[in-house]
Amino acid sequence: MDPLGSYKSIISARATDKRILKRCQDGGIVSAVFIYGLENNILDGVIVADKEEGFRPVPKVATTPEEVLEAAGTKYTVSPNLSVLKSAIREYACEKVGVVGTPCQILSLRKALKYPVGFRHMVDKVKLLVGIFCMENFPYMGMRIIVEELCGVRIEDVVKMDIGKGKFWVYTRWGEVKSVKLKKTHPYEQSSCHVCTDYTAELADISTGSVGSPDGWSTVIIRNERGEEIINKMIEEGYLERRPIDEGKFGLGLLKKLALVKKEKNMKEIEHRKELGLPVPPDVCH
Amino acid sequence: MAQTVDITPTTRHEGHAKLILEVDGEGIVSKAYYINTTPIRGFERMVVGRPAEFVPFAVMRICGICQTTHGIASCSAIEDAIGCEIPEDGRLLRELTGLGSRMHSHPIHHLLTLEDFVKPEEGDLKIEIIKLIQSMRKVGQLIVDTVGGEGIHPPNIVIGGMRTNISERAKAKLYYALRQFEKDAYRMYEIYQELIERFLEEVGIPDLGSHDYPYIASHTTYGDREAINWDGIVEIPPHRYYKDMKIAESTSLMIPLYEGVPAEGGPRARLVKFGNFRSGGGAMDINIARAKENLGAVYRALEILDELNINGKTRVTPEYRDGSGIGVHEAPRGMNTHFAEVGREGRIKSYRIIAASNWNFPVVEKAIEGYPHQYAEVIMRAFDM
Ligand SMILES: Cc1cc2nc3c(=O)[nH]c(=O)nc-3n(C[C@H](O)[C@H](O)[C@H](O)COP(=O)(O)OP(=O)(O)OC[C@H]3O[C@@H](n4cnc5c(N)ncnc54)[C@H](O)[C@@H]3O)c2cc1C
Repeated sequence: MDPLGSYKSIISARATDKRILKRCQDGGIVSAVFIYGLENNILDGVIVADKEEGFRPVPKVATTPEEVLEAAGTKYTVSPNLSVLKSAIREYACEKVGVVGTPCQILSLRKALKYPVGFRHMVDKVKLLVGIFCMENFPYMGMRIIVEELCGVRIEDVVKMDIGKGKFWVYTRWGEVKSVKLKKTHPYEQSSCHVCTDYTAELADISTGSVGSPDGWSTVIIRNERGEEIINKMIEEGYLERRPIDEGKFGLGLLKKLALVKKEKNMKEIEHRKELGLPVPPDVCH
Repeated sequence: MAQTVDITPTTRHEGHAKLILEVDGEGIVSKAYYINTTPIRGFERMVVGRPAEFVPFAVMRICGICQTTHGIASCSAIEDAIGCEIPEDGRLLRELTGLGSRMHSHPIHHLLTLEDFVKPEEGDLKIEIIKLIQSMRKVGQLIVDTVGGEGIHPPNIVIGGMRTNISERAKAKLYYALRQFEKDAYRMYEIYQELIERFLEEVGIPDLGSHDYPYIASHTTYGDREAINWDGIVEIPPHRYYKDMKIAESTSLMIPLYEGVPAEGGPRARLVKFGNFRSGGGAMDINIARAKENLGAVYRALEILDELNINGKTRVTPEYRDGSGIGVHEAPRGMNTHFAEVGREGRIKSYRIIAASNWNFPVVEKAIEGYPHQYAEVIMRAFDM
């Protein structure tokens, strides 16, 4: 099994803009790419996951760097980003749209672009797909239980959540950090994530996540020319700083390992569901 | 010798219909029947008992071209029934969506009538017109896409107003598109005037397709229920309108009458009622009026962009209560009216639609009578059926 899908190169990188680094999840790659795109006329609108009260994600069409910053950071629950794609192109009249999404969202979007039924005038207007690595996601109430019951933090107090080193972390606005072992969060996962075999958003132009790079840096998988062009320009113009990816056990090794874990574990679940005659996803990204 | 000429189906128009003509020894039509062969689909029944919110989306499916106008008429009928006032910016966006629909529908009708007036050897002219049509239609579609949320069955038209406003960027984009449309529409108007003038000269019948019926129109660019005396409107079954029972049984249409007689709706009716367009002329005037309305549409659309506050509220949450109401929208081809009665829990108690083309069916018949039968379809087409 091919762990990461096809790609041109993999690097470690992080944004140079302090405003981004202050708000982003890892190396701020997603926000930096979108802000670069908006500021240089490569993109004129981007779809991100903003949040409302109670850490509820709301898909948003951002057309300014400020709006992109506002929506930085990971929400560990479903944000139906594609639901506003039409709005971006219709009521916002964007012609060069960037979209960030989890692997499943990137997959759906690629499919929509290939078979644009119900997507009139949209195919040529989606210009950049940025995928984020994802092992699993949580339904909103699942996330809330992890935060409030397992970590004992009021949802209003949360400023950031993170997954790393085998734990789910919650950062409060009072400066406290709480965590819970991932073993305990498994029951609250979205069950559909258990038949997904894509860890690194294999159909994106650029995929990014924390795994494989030091804290504060991101691993960036550049998958095609479009992705390469934009990342190279950003490095040249000083929007991003880069370092070579660690090829060893805690770098690329870990990334490949986790990607394979997701594939193998979830292939088993798929086989299991087949035995029971339950529906399974079509053959993609095995 | 008198004879009957059947044209079945009639071609180059939007619906499904046939013409049955009684023609005298000189080839002049003495009696014309214009039969609507679109099967009855029962929308008026289908919506009874359904939640009101469902209705605009359902009735948009009545027509492949006029979804917007059915959506608008339906929403405003239900709003009228429950006493719901929509915000000003919602109203402006609705009117703009309706104009977008007019701005792609009118040009497509120019395409359908084109063959009646351009000669086979005028290939270049034909190409020029078709290019104009394409460019104009793009703008109309862009408006419905952007403001309506989707070019076909625009989902932003909802009870209470419009689902959302548009962005600054969208407004700018529409502005430039409209300026292009304005140029194209001028050229189209010039071309149509010349073509029609030449056609009538060659035919030698300046008033081809004239009739004595009155006009019906409620507004130039939108729709106004206050402009119509609703007590004067009745719909009668074809069995009462036609003496020939066979004919009456073959049409799927109710015949609407205004103050006891059929009335013409559409571009000419609007321009006569609210402008200074010539009344009582031949049917070819309608083709010119249509080309002229493209201009009115683009001016009004630009004005709406000026008036629109893109940060304004576009929708109120409707509160359902019992009542009945009327919604009128001036569709490209005539006045489109929906009558809604809303009952318990916002469900529809009864629903009636007099779609735009209904008005013109009996008028087309009258307009064809008295003229050589070979022009019957040209006359019918002028009405955009
Ligand atoms: C459910 C989930 C699981 C993840 N699992 C892993 C993992 O196992 N390993 C790993 O290395 N990385 C994982 N990530 C990715 C990681 O948390 C960061 O999002 C990623 O590294 C990008 O960080 P950044 O600093 O470059 O982005 P930022 O500059 O912080 O931007 C992140 C962008 O993603 C958008 N976003 C946030 N949440 C969502 C969401 N739920 N759906 C769609 N878009 C969203 C934001 O609006 C923002 O635009 C996961 C992310 C999610 C949402």
